[in-house]
Amino acid sequence: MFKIVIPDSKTWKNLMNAISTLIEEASFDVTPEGMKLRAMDPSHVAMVDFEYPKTAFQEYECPEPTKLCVNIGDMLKLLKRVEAGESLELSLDKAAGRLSMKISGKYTRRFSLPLLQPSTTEIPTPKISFDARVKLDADSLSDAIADIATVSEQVKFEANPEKLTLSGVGETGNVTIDFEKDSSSVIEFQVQQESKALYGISFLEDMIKAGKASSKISTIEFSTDKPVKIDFELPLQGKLTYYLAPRIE
Amino acid sequence: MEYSSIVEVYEEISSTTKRLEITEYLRRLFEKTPKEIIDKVVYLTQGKLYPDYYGIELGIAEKLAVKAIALASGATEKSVAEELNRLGDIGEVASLFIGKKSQVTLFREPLTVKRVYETLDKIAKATGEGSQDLKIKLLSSLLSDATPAEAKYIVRTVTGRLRLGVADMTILDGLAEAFCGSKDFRPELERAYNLTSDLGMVAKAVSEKGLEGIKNFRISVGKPIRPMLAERLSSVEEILLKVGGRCVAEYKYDGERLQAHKIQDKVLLFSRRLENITHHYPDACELIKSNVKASEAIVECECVAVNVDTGEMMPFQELMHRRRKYDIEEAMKLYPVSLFMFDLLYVDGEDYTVKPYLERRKRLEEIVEESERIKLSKAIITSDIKELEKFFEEAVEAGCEGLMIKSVSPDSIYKAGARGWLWIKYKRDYQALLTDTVDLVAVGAFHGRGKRAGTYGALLMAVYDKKNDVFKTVCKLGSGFTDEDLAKLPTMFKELIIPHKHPRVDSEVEADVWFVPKIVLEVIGAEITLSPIHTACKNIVREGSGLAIRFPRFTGKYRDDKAAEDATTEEEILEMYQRQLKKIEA
Repeated sequence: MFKIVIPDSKTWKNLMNAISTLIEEASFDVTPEGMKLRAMDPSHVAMVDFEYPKTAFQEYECPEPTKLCVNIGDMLKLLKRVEAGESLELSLDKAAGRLSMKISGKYTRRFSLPLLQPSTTEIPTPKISFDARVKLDADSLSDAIADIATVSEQVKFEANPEKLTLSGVGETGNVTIDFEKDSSSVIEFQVQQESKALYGISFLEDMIKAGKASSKISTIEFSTDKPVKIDFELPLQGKLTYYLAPRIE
Repeated sequence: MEYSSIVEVYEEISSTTKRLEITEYLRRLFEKTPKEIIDKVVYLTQGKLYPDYYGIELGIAEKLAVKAIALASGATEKSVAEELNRLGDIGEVASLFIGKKSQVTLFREPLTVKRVYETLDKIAKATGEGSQDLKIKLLSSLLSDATPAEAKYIVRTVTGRLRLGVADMTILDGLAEAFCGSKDFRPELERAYNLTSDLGMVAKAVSEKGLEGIKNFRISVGKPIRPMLAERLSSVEEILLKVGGRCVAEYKYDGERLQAHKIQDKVLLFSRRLENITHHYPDACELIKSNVKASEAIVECECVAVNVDTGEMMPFQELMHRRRKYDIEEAMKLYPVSLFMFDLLYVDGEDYTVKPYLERRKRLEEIVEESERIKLSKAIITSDIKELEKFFEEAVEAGCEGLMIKSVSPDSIYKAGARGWLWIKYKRDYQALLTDTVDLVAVGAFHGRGKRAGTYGALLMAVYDKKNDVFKTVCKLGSGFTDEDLAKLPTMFKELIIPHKHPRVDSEVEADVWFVPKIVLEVIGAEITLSPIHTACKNIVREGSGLAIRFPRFTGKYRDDKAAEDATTEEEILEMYQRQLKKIEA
């Protein structure tokens, strides 16, 4: 018997949104310990890593490891009209090959959508060591990226022991944003070595916008000309992590 | 197999124009290709994914390719588009941007032939909402892992512009050398190709079992056969000599050549280039289904647009309105077609390609039930030059391009995929375009049928011969009339009807109704041609022939201001003909 209950379906919707920024089909690994998803966008530039332990759910029954592959856009269409406070129950109709979603609030709604053939390729974890690590307020990070997006298609990340600087250069103007290590938006600040890297802004915008819907706190890690890892803390040991490959000047 | 090893061969092929060298490069490529994917490698080398008749085509818009290149390289779309303007070749642009790409990927997987093929296949098959985005993403996923040279060929392939300049026959040579030991076996491979129109299938069969693999290839209904082609000559004497003094001459209709496959209740139509064009002609399918009396057959016919109201054939350009994706129903009504059957390749288990022409034609006559819309091609058997020339003029005036002269000798088999002297095109070398309108006198009329029942279907029109004070016919006019025009024709001519041909009218055409020459209409036409039936300028340009206006059309202007004697004169028509007569650019 497979059954998972999420207390607030809005949380689930936000997480699905976060995943949908990169991929169309989501293949979840559901095990007795919890739920996981790792996926890369088709151009292999960005990756999302999502984990939710069973303790994060209100109810969790999964006797054997199962792959759940769905079209995430279709699932989001169904979740669109969900309201805060409504609970969501996921169950499987194996015979019909469908995932059932029961949304309970003032009344009960039931949706179902077809299960797709999961892909079999395993994506490894990028092996990178990071020289700079800054934990900061997700809203401030989101604002900074939005500011830069007004002038440029890419963002330069620069870190030294004193501050993290995000900047963009465009035809219409330049934008520079400093996060000093003791500023109020910065929660933790560790820079072992001066680091500098450039990233495409469209992926960053999508990731951060989607991530901050689920979490107030974000952690940026990067090294010179290496991928950036952006981590959003989720309640109850959940994890939402993005990786984005750099651009080289 | 890695895609890069194909790309190396493409680069070699692009660096030469010598066929022998290309054959050698292909031989090496085929020898190192795993048998399971050799068909795919052959299709890719042709810039395709499948044989043409599958109807799955690559050819995404350049602007989508620009987006994919921008996405994969990290450059802006604007800069990619600017380079495209400068370089003109989207392949070179891809190579340039992938070469200096700033966007790094998280993981890089080398491109295999299988991955490239499968991704291109997904791109070709993506349809519907969001498919454009999907195509861009799929293409950029290939480009992110591609080297600059790979990117060049991937983008050229996906936009339908690979154009390596490798002829089908060169591929067959390469296959023959690789798997049969010598190019000398190409005719065997060619035969297999002509019957199946599928180079990939031939490649797979010979790579697995050599010549043995293709020995048992047979005609199969549903798979197009490569069409037999004709040579061209412009002198009747020479043509007759070539085909042995006696020949069959068929109208060469100005339409689209179709190869129709009937499989029980299903009909498939293939173009001359073997594209599946079944969906362009639902009406032709119906005609084949109901009037070809065989459960399985492959026939060839010419599909011609006809004027709904007069039944006249219309020029080829009109037929092209049928080549569209949407509103086929509407196009079917506006541009209905007639079929003229001219060959039979297969019927109920029997291969007719190996039988001589007359036997094929006889069987074709037996299985085709003629009707208004489906007929056998008009044909005569003759060994007489005069008769041929007269038949030729008749064909041209009726709206045909000319004649197809075919051998009737015992060895006149259907040579699939071959151009030879068994069939010879006889087209006009000269034409006299009609650039001005002419004013013609109505001297008679023909009863209308169908929608035109109760009024006239066409008017017999004439020019004025001043010297002899007679009116000489020059065309039948049925096009260009509005419904209102048609409705008032009977009233307009009522007073002018006489029970016999007017003494001042010189006509060899028998009209249904004769008029006193009085009413003048303004007419435009495509050109002036020689005519065996009309009397204008008779025996002036050529003994036994007159001049006629081809594809005449009423402009809508009634020349009430003109008397019959003010109409365009015979001398003027002759002068127009002589002034405009020009050699047709081949």
